[in-house]
Amino acid sequence: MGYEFDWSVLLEYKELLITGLLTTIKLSVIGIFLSFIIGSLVGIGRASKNFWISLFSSYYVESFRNIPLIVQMFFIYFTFTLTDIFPFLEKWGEFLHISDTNAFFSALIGLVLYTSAYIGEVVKAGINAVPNGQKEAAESLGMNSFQVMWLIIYPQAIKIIIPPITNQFLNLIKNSSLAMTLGVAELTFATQQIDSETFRGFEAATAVTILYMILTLFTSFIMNLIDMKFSKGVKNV
Amino acid sequence: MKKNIIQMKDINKWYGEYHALRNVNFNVKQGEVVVICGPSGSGKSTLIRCINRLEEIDEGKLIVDDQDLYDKKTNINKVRQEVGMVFQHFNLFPHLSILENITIAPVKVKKKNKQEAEDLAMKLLERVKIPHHAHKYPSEISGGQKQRVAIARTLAMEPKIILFDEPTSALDPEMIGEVLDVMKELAKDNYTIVCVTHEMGFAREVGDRIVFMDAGEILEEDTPEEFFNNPKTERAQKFLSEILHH
Amino acid sequence: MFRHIENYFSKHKIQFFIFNTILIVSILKTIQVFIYPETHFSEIFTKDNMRFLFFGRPGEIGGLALTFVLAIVSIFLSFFIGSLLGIMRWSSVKIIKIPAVLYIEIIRSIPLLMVIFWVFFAIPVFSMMFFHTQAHVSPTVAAIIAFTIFTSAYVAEIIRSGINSIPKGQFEAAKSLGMNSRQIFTLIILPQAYRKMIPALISQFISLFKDTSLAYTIGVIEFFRAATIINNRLYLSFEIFSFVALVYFSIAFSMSKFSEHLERKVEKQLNT
Repeated sequence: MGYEFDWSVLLEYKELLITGLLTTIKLSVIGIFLSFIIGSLVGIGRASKNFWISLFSSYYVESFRNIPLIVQMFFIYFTFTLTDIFPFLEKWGEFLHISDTNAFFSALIGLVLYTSAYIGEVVKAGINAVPNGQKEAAESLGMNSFQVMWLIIYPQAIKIIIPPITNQFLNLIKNSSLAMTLGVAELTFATQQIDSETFRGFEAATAVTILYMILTLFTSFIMNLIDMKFSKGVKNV
Repeated sequence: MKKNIIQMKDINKWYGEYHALRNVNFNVKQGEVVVICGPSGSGKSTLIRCINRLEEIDEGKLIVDDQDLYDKKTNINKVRQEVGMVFQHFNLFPHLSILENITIAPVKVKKKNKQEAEDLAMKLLERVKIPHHAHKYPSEISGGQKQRVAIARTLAMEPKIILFDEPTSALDPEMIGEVLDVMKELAKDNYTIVCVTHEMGFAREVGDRIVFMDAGEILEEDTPEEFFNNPKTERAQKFLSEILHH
Repeated sequence: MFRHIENYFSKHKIQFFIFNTILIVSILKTIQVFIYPETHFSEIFTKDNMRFLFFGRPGEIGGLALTFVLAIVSIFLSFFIGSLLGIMRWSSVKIIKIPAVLYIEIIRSIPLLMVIFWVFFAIPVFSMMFFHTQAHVSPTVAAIIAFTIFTSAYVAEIIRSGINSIPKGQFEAAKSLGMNSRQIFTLIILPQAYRKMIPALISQFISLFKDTSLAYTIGVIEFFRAATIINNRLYLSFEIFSFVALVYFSIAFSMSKFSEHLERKVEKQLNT
């Protein structure tokens, strides 16, 4: 008696898979957006000459990247009731069609804290890789430190960090699977759900694996396009 | 008698244990062209970089355009708008086109109208003789052209003082001339210029005064005539014989 | 004055670590004061709880000890499989290269949780297909297999970039001495590549160490699951999870500082 594949479960449970895919996409898109912004700020802070800013940023980075993501998610989910602290999340949850607002946002905040710590390190390395002469030239034109960073250093750093930052975005997409441990119905959760209802985990896992591959490939593709746009003029300097 | 636009009094600077500037007293009058020379490691670049506070001094008083640079009330970015700097390695912004390199500071720092800034930039590019490269990127032009763009970028801020930090040292020999030509024109145009360079021909031709430094000290200050014909210190004589016999 | 503090911390990593830990504790304390005015840390710091958290139930290995076993065994296995895959990927023979590329790219594009489920779902299916019996694999073994499958792909990439960083001249010199490919790799290339890869391998180990917490999902009672079990009994999530976070942090942070230290040492060695 061998194992007989039954791919029809995928059709039967397509609702679950589609909702899962959408939830993963929501987590990923919002997560990438927020962790990029916070990570950039943290990275700029890490490269800062001000002792307290740089200490605070390195404290942020070291804390959040050295604690497992699942622990952070559980800590947030079980010790805070986010919708009580931030009532507006309720509305956002409705807007995003999320069934369990608390779990979703706990997972999202965990993802953002964790990933932005890594992005902070990447951004810092990128900023430090921009030659010091750039800063000096900008300063000698009378730019203030905000203008030096925003107009001159950061645009060049961005170009350098696109490949490692793409990796962090992909990690975030993959790590969004951890939201299932809080009961967020994303893709990995759907796999488990289908398995527990039909014992067709193998088929479900195959489908979900392919969906993840499509998601990560698509993200890499977009980041490649952005990379190409940025490489304009920045070659061989 | 013109007033002193740069005044440095008893300046001392250390890098850790290393005494980089020793009791430097140095004044520059408005419209004057001063050339600083000396062996490498003598502190000439450090001195010039102190004038717009790219390097911090440890002791002494530094007044530029009537403003004490180390007064808490002085806005260093305002002073820097009056003091342009041209670097040895150009330091053009690689992510911006030539035109944007020149207009970014006038538009963002001086809040100039964009069209006005671009018109000025085109005029300046013509003045440094590269108007047709305006929309290229720094990586697409030669070293001599880069340095001329850097000069145009500095001029676009309409500074009173221009600092040149070895502007021709990183250039291939055949490109040095084109940059020096532009600098000579500026010298005639009433800018106050402080220039660190090894180009003694340039110093002799346009310099009002030569300053010779060694080991962080100013050893001689004289007119080019006097300095080249009768160097007073032994070290200046040695330096001149080395540099002129190459 | 700040510069002095900064220099001090960059020279004295351990003091920085202590300072950091104090900061974490004080922040947790602040959260606690505002949100949980009453805490019951004493209730979780009992002898039984601690023994369960760090060593598992009497007679079986669990808790933090099992976390270390999972991480160490998996990184050890991944190191060999990853080396093999890395060399395969580096090869120019297509039949060798393509399977390695496929493996590495597929594994790297899916979450670790999916790999864990794959192992869980696939083992019974394969045992049905090939041995016609229902296989029973303990969750711990399944977790180790999953971690190894996952980490091997990442180790392979580290190995490949390590090999790529060796100058071509080394290959040519070895070839001109009459070495065959196996000798070139084992005698000349890998010894040099491994030394450069040590920091990357350690940071891979650190992420694996954190990732072992995912074994929670298939019921392995490692450190994190042990903590959730206590939480289900006591409902003291703030106390328990902040303690768990602190333990993970101390270990992962120390290891990452150690790896930075090694990195500098290796750099010095390679420069001289």
